[in-house]
Amino acid sequence: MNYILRTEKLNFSYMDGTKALKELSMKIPEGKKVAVIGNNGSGKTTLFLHFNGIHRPQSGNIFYRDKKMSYSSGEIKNIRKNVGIVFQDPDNQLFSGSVYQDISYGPVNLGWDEKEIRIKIEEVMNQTGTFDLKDKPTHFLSYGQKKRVAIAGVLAMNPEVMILDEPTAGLDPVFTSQIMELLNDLNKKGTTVIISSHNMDEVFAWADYVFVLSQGEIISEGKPEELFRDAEVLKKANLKKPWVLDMYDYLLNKGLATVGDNIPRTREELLNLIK
Amino acid sequence: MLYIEQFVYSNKLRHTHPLERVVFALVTMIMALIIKDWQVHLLIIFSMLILLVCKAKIKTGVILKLMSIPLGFLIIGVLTIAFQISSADLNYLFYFNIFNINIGITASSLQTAINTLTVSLSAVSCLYFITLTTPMVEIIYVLQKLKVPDSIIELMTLIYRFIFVFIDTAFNIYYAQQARYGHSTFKKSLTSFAILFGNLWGKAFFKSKNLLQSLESRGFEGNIKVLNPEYSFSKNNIISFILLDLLIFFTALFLSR
Repeated sequence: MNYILRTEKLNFSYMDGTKALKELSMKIPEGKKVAVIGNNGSGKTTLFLHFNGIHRPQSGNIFYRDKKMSYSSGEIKNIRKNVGIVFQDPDNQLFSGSVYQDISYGPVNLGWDEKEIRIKIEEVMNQTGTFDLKDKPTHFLSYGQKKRVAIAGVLAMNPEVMILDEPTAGLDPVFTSQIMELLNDLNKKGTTVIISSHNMDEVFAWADYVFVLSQGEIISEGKPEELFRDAEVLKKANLKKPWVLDMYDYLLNKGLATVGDNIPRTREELLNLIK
Repeated sequence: MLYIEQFVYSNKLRHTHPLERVVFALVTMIMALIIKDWQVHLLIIFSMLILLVCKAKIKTGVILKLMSIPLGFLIIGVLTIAFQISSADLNYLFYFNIFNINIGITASSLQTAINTLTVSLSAVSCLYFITLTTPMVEIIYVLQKLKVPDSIIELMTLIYRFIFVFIDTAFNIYYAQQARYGHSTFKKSLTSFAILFGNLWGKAFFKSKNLLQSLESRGFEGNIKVLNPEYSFSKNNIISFILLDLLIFFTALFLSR
């Protein structure tokens, strides 16, 4: 297994003394769908900002493709090209009144050819369903549309790792499933996708690998079907067991479901296993 | 402001190159300022309004309402120009006498007043042509083409975007305060407004920090560089703009003889 991003005993505290990350070590497997879950204030966003070289660890190291980040300006540029972050609040990310300008920003910074950039912009607009918004000003967009534009702006840089801080928070179910679909597509093309989320059902259905973050520490990690069965971890991190898994385990206990090849992750898979 | 924004973004002249519209309006405005003939001014006002209504398809009511805003200031300003105060008899067309001082209108002061009124209105109509057909983003693009320094362009881009973010934030706070009777009396309203502004101030700092982080994560290195959509010139528009300007020019020439 290749690990595209690795942290080693990462420590970080904010100026007011809040310890955001404590001796945090984790390995992100390449080409996987990774979810980081944990309560508000558990350090997810701080961790993500480290991956992209915005925050520097006060102690500890971060490795990108087994190379220790040295924070030289050339390397930072490289890291920011390869690790893209979509921030939680699109209003913090969209700086331009024009959708087109905003999406073009990252690629222009990478110094690509103008023609190449225009082709890429069109491609990501189609991918994220924002093509119809290109003549609209940012402030006329709905929250979901802004979020899509924010994703397009990062996607346009062709990152190897795409980090999304709560990509589905505040979105309606239709749009949520569209985003998860988009993330699946990206992953199939080889992008490592990391998301944070408070929706355990969504994480359970989508992720290959899950990290549980609590008060700046990784308290558990593993495949979702194993991790979400660990009652102790769930209790410690204040998390809820995904309903599909909860129901499946209940039905198994009562002898009402068959044991399939895989543990069901979605409603449909669960229904197929009920006797 | 938001009200005008909606018309600008849906106007029918939008899909051509913004430069042709801005240059046309500026050339016409310069003519309005140079030519001192009220008939030419009326022609300019008239053609701008026709263009806005028939070509850009902006509602007549909206334009008239917008034109009436400067009219209020103008009439007060123009009245002070029209009335001359003097102790001597100045060949007044109309005057009244208070404490041996004559206050009234002379033929030349009337001429100046009318000229000021029409020149201002025609210049305003040219400016409205720009503001109603060209969204801010495109105006910024035109300024960039006209070689305005990058730092000013960046500031304009950011300010334009964040005006709306802050209006939203301010209204959200305001509604939340109203929902809890924060504006039920005048005194409470004052306190609530103070809190609102204080909060907005703090939020501005947070936003700027977050914005910088998100810009950095996309490779910010000190200045904001972006690409604009490719605009195409419209031959028809350019030709009709040139013809219209020529018409105004020759009318002025004819009237001055």
